[in-house]
Formats: sequence, structure tokens, C-alpha cells
Amino acid sequence: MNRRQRNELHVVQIELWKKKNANFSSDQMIHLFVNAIQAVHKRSLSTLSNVTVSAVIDRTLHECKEKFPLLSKISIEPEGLHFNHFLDQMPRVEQQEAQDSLEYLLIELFEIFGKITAEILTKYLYQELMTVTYEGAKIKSELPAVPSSKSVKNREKK
Amino acid sequence: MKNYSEISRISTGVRNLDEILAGGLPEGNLTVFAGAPGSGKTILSQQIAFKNATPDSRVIFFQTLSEPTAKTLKYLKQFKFYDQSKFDTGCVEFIDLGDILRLEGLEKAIAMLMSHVKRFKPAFVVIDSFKVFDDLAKSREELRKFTYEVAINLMAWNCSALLLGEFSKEEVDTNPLFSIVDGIITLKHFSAAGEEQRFIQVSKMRGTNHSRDEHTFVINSAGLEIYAPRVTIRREPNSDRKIKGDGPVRAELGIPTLDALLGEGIPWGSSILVSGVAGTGKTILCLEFIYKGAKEFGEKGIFFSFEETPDRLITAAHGMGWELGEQIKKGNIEIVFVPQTEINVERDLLMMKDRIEKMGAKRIAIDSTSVFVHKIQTPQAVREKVFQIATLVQRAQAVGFFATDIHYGANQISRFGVEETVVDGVILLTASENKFARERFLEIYKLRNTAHKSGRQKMHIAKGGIKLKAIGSSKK
Repeated sequence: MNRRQRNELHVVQIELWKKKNANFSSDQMIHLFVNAIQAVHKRSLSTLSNVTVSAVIDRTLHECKEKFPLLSKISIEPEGLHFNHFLDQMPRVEQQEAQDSLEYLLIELFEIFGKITAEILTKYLYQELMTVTYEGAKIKSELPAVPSSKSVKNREKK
Repeated sequence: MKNYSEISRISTGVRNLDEILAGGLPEGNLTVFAGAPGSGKTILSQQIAFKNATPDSRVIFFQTLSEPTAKTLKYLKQFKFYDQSKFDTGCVEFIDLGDILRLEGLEKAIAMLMSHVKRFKPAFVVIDSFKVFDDLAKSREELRKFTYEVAINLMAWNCSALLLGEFSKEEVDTNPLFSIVDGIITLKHFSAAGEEQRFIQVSKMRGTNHSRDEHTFVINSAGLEIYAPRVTIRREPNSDRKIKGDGPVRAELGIPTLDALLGEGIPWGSSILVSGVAGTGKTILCLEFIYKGAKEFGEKGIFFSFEETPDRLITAAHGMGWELGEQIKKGNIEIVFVPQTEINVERDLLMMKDRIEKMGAKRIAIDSTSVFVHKIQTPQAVREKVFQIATLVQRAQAVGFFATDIHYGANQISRFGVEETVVDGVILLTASENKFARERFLEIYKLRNTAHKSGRQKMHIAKGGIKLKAIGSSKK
């Protein structure tokens, strides 16, 4: 299976998950994606070592922020991934762009964790993704509110 | 999702190394090249790296404190695999970590190394030498941690890495590096009987069913050239030509009195040992076999000579009335001469394979196998090499005549006493004194799957070729 084919599988899985959460607003979806990435991070830690997971996340973030510079505000600390600075940017960025950047990061994580484990871990990461809900996101992360695309545009006009 | 998947392979570009690795280096593997200084580690890594360096698959060479980068670059240029455009287009980069290692130690070195990996995003990383880290680590724990982190980080970036080091056999057994890495390739060299000999061995390579044998190699302007006849010369089980699934298709030699002895002929793919003491006519029989094949049947023939030069063979043939030169000009016959002093058995086996395949030879003569394998020390090794020559004949579905000298008075039919066990047939040439004349005899001693005539035949060598006269015969 080549990179494009694997990518399609990741996208299909994420679309399934998104469909499950179709009723949520863009703002809520961003929180959901943050939680999904945290869940993937946590699940991979239970199989791989902290050193390995950190190295993979470091690489993934390094590459993803070339396409989406707003991801450079995500930081890796010994205790995990920190999204606070990323979410602080929300009033100034398009919700759709923020969601796209997180979706891109999630796909890249599936890709690299899959690649280094000969796709053995991929199935479990998919399963983990399906357990991520908005309720869980709300409880686990005390995140600042994210403005809608419309309000961002209005602010830019002003 | 599939249950089974193959790891992608990287072609090394080193002759026969992909075959030894059963398909190339597994992508993403961390491989140690271990060996003494001068064993060829750096050249091997450069050869592999230059073969694979492209804009989509870049290579970083990290030089540590082993060899100054300036020296590495200077000597790199003399190899044919060197390609300036790979530097110019940014496919290859050399980075010297010497300063940071000297001044700041291991922790800074790994940060520096990874910052270059992030910037350059290489598919290949070469660290020359990794052994330096052993010397800089303050403890085995620090070394293990450092090695583990390097391994993990390179894995996360999906880099294939070649870690070079002057590691001894004892270190391979005890150094923590060797439990972390995916592959170990050992290179060694030493002098034996005034000759430099180099060996390469893949002792570990995760993800592939590789050869574990030692294989000889040389370093020339092309880089490493590995001879691995055990891997590259293999019998093809279903290649023998058959008549509608029954018996084998057979060759007629074009030597009438000998063909009469052979009955239906020699099955294609067979190797025949032409055995006798000096002066019994082995070379002439081999020459006639090659010449008549070309002249009478249009079958291409190749004569590997380790004793006589091509000119002397052409002259000898002319004396018999055979215009060997003409057939050579027409491309029907080739004579390949390798002086005894220059024989390198493994290299020449591959040379024979290439020449036979390129020519499409149907008749192959080797004069003589006893000279060809004379440097080999053990009968087991002689047996293996003769088997490999016979395999070349089998693969080509040709007929091979292998001359072999036996000692006067020896009670055996081959020089080393093992060759006859791997060939399909033996033609024994003998001579005896009768009053003041020496008489020659020929006997089909053995020929598998063929109802040949047995018993000694008187053999005359005269203008036109060999003629046999029965002195007593019976059908087997």
C-alpha cells in the first residue's frame, strides 16, 4: 500500500468519526480534534515508549507546521501535548483553517505511527479515535471558546 | 487491512549485495558496518548513499572524529559512483560533528544531529564513525541511552541509517548498540599467501532472510564488488530440456568415433570431466569439442583457458586443421585467457557466468579446472567450486568439458578426488608405453542417464581430430 492509499484510509476513518459527531459546531469540532490528538498520543504511549512517541510527535509537528504555521503553537512537554497557546490564536484565525490543520496533524500521526509499526498500531489508533466524543472533550480540556468564522471575518473588516 | 506486508527494500547498487540481502536493505533499518580501519566501510556507505541520493531521497553524511571531512571528500572523488551533481542539487550533504563532540559532548551532538535531520529531511543518514560515541560516553548507561535516542529519532523520521565503526567481534557481542540496531554487516581483510583477501558478512538484518555466509569482495574504481557465487550461481530445478516430458534432449559432439561411444549423445546441461595426466590430449579434446560445435552445428562455444594463451591455442588448432581464428572472427567461439597467477576463483566464476550468458554459449570448455581451483585449500571447497562451474553449464543448458590434470600413478580419476562426484560424466584419458611408442586411450568412465559404450578405446590424435579405435567394448 502506498502513501496515497494509506492516506485515503485515514481520511475515511476520520470522516466516519466526523459523521458520528456531525451535529457539533465548528468551535466544538476544534475541541473534538484536540481531544482526538490527545487520545492518539495517549494510546500510542501504552504500546510505544515515551521516547518513541515524543520523537514521532516532534517529527509530525515539525512537518505539519510547514503547511499550517498555526500548529507551531502546539508544544510537547514531558507530560504530553499542550494546546493552550494554539487555542489562544483562535480569535485571530479561521475556524475552518484551524480544523483543517488539526485534521492534517491527525492524519500525519496515523501515517507515521503506522509506518514505524508496519501498520499494526493503526487499527488501535482508529478504535481510539472512535471513542472520542465532545462530552469527553469538554470534560478533559478546559479550553477557551473558539469564535466562528463569521465573527473572525467581521473583526477583520473592522 | 492486509495481515502480511513486505518491508520496502533499498537497492544498494553494490554488485551482488542485494542478492546477499535477499532483495536489498530493508527501508528504515539501522545498520552497522563493523570492521577494522581500511576494511571498506566508508566506501561501502558512500557507494550505497550515492546510488540512492535523489531530490526525493536525500543523504546526510555525519562525520565525527574519525576522519577529517576534507580527506573523505578528497578520496571520494576517485570512485566512479561519485557524482558532483548530487552535491550541486543538494541530494548529498556532509556535516562535520567533530567540533561539537569535542567541545560539548553527546547530548549536544544528538540535538545537532536531529536539527540537521529536521532541516534536510534525509532518507539516508550515514554516521562515520559511530564508534567515537563509545569513546565519549562516560558510562555504558549513557552510551545505551544515547544510542537508543539516536535510533528512535532516526526511526521517527523514517531514515535508513548506516552507522560505521571499528567494532571488533567482542564488541559486537557486548556493545549495547548491537542489540538496538536492525542490521550488522561485518567487513574484514587480511593477507594470505601474499594475497590480500577481503570478506563481507551479513550477520544480522531484521526483516529479510539474508545469506549468512562470508563472501569475498574487492575494492576497485567502481567501489565494492562482491563475489557471491553461493548466492548468485544456483541450480534451476526445472530448466533441463526434455523431450515431451520424457528423456533429456542430447548433444552430438561432432567427433564421429566419440559420438559412436556416446550412443544417444550427452544430455544438454551436462558437465563432463576430461581427466588425465599431462600429455594425454585433454586440451586437444576440449578444443575439438568447441571447434566442431561451432563449425558443424553452429553452436557457440567458449573456451576458458588458465594455461595456454589464445595464440597458442589457435596455433595448436591450426596444426590439427581447425581454423579456430575464423570461428572467433565470426563470433562463434570466444577464448578467455586468465593467467594462473591472476586467478581469483570467486571473481572468475562470476566472470564465466557473465561471459557464458552474454554469448549464449552452448559449449563450454575449461582448461583446466585443476589449475583454476589450485589455490583452494580443502576438498570440500574444491567440490563446491566445481559444482558451481557445473551449475553454470546447467543454467545455460550447454555441455561443459572440464579438463583436469591428475598426477602420474595416482589412483584417482581427478586431481582432488572430489570433482567426479559433482559432474555428470567423466572421460578418462590415459597413456602407456608400448615398446618405443606411447599409446593414448580414452574411456567413458561415467555418463549419467546415458547408455554409453564402456571400455578403453585407443586414441589417435592426427590432422582432422581425434579418432578412436575399440580395443574391447561392451554396452552398459
